[in-house]
Amino acid sequence: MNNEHFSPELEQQALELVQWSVAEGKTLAIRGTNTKQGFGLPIKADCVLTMWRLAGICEYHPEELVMVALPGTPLAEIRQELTRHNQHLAFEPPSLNRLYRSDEEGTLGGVFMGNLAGPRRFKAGSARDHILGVRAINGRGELWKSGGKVIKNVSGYDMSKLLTGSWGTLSVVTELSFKVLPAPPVSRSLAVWGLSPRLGLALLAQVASTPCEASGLAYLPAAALAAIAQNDMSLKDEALTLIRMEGTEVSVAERVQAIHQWLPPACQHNLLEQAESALAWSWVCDAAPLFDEQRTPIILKISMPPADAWNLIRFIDELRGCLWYLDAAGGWLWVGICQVSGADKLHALIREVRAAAGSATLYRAPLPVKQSAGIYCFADESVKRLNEKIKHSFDPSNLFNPGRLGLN
Amino acid sequence: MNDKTLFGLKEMGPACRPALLRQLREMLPDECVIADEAALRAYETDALTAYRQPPMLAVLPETTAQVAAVLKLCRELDVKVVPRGAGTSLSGGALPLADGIVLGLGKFNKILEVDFDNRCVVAQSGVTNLALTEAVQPRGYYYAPDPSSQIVCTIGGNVSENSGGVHCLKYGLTTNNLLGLEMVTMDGEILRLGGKYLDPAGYDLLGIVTGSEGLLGVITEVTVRIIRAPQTAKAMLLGFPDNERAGQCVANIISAGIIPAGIEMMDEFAIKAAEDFAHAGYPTDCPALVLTELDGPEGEVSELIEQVRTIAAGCQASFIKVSASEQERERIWAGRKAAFPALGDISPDYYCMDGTIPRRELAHVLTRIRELSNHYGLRVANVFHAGDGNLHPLILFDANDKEQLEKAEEFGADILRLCVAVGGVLSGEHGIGIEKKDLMPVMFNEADLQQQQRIKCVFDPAGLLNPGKVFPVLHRCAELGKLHVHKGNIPFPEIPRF
Repeated sequence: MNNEHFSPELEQQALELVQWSVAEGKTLAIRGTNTKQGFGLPIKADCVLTMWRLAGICEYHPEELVMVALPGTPLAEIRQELTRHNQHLAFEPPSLNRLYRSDEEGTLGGVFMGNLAGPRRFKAGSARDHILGVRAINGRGELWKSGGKVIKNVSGYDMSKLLTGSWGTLSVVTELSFKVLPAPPVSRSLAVWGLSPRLGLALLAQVASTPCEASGLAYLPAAALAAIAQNDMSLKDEALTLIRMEGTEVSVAERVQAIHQWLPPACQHNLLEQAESALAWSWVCDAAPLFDEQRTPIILKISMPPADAWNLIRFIDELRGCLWYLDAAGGWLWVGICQVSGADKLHALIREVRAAAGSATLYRAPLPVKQSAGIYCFADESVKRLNEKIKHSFDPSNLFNPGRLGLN
Repeated sequence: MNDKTLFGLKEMGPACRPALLRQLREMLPDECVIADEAALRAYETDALTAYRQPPMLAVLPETTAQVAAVLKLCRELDVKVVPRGAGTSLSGGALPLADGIVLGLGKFNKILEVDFDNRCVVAQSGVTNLALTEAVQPRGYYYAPDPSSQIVCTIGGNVSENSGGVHCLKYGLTTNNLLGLEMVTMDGEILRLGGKYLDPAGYDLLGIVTGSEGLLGVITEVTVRIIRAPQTAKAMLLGFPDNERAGQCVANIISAGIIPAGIEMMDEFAIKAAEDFAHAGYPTDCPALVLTELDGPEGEVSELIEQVRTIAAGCQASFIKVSASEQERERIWAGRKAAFPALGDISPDYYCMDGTIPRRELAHVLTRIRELSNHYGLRVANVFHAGDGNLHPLILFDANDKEQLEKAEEFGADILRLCVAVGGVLSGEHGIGIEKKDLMPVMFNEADLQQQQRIKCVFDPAGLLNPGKVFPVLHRCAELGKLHVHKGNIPFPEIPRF
């Protein structure tokens, strides 16, 4: 296979390239800096289209909460510019490069194409809640746009949301506009140690049901904590329940104080200040307990009704040989399965997720496992069929990232 | 070219009415099928009352299975279907068709489950927006999006229009608060998207259906996120010597890192009308008023109030007032909510526009609107969701004067063109519907519109569901599906390779 690489610097060049690929029937593997190539099934394409040269911030209006940038812009550059104005991407995109063993820094395009989100998901949403507009090239070689550069817009279908989370399978995105928000001046977390999963989950549910506006609620069992190789904190060999509060100084202090009333009696806890808190949440956000591919070759991220978390955790513990932790106020369960031959366990787990009326995405697995389990756990066949029709409507010749999501 | 040739339909329309009526009566209880001409009048318009058209028939199914059966039958008979919630669309989204039926969801009025453990509510699509909040209020929760029609508008309609409200700057639109839905496609297939969890697998189908204005499917059930009501909320009234300084104050508040629960602006005309009508305590000698609400933990709100006070003073605010009680807070908002009826009191009719602009263009846009007002000889009042740049100019006119109606529509179209020209959009929250479909090419070119219509083709290839809305011209799906390949000029020698 002739894997020629193209790296356009202009939208027009990208357009010409796609038009050529349409005319010649050449399939394209579309990338930013290739930090998430481990996601999905391997892409078998004639050529590689890398977007990292199509980079730069085009417009930024902090007082309008809007930024417009090109897809190849390094996420670090976006963060840096936002920080200068005390703003941030509220959906807290994780860096998945450690999970996928890449040394590169990801791009803005990758963040939106993967619909990434971090621990603030239950409060601030994911990338799809922040996308405002796109310019993109479809699989017919046509440049099209949708949405706008203002934060409130219902003109026409919300096509930008369809592209967000499409992993480059619907169109080649050439420009993104998105909502940015003020960064909280103070961010602090309460670390509660040694709670059993049942007590930890109960605490998370309790805090989530108060008006305390926690912006991070996670539970890491001792085993998950032990699996985090890099840590600058003197970690105890115990389960960690993390509760994050963000806002103004007075407000954070008040709310942290208020949480104490719900702590189980005589439990150990301490306050993590800004830097420590950020470090702890980066483990949760970037899936640090699951970095080691030798140890957990299979990773499934489950999204389920929070009240079902307890049953799923018990099921996982009975399966044995799994490493898990809970994020997003009990709405997300990250599960690492600890042996290559864990396919049976994976299938059992997927059945359990279906029974709980949840959803799951396979983030990492050996190829045969990916092939047998699929990347997504669709609720039913009709939804999967609809996904396939949508893929076809954008990319009728299946040129873009063919096979990546396992849709026909 | 009329609609029929556009969609390649058989010449059925009203001709098939007897057969359709007979079959509908077989599948639905008697009271669920409305064929009487006088009774059909009730469905002839929505909140865009300038347009009226009684439907061929109206049906009010009671179950999802009945909705599926009705849609399947209409698909077989090539009959167009206009879904309808409470009929509060301001863009004519529920305007009937002479050769189509109205499918009303008024009987889908039950809240199915209040699930505090999972912080969500499951409800049928005809439940009103306010009823969702009322169902969870006793436990201190609420449903965040609050369009001003929330007493009557339905949650299914909110999903179809992606409704907002005064709190959406901080708490998001419908799309950000929706977890799942059940819908029926034109083929009669029942789909369940999402559920009581955060991230459904695959493409964002919930995202594309939300705001699709009833063109993709009939929504029968929703699952929405509920959140805890804030500990406290306080409203502030800030008066300014002109729109420029009011706009600057809004920009400075947001630049300071404050996201208020709501932040609204009114011009002099709107302030006076609202105050005369509602006696909300507005300063009638201020040319521009900013109304804002800060909510959250008590300590935080007190801190933010002081910050906003300082910012407002820095922008030469001539009037600053903070609500001292819950009653006063409510009265301040009552004035804003009364702005529309207040103008209805001083003019026979008004036409509410809904463009969004980048806020930095506010002063320019308001000046230009004033010039247009003089040009058309029609008065205009401006209320404005200032936080997100969503303008609601209200054009006053008399619909009995045909010339005035035409002028009002032209004036409105000019305002929307202006919004797009300064980098904004045609609609912030009311939708395109029938009202703005002819303006879609101002914002989108043919390729943009075709890409949207291909989504329509995925869900409804025959184009039977709510046709004539959103798109200026609905192309045949077969035509949109064709792949035009331009062979030849390839070289792009200038594209860097590795």
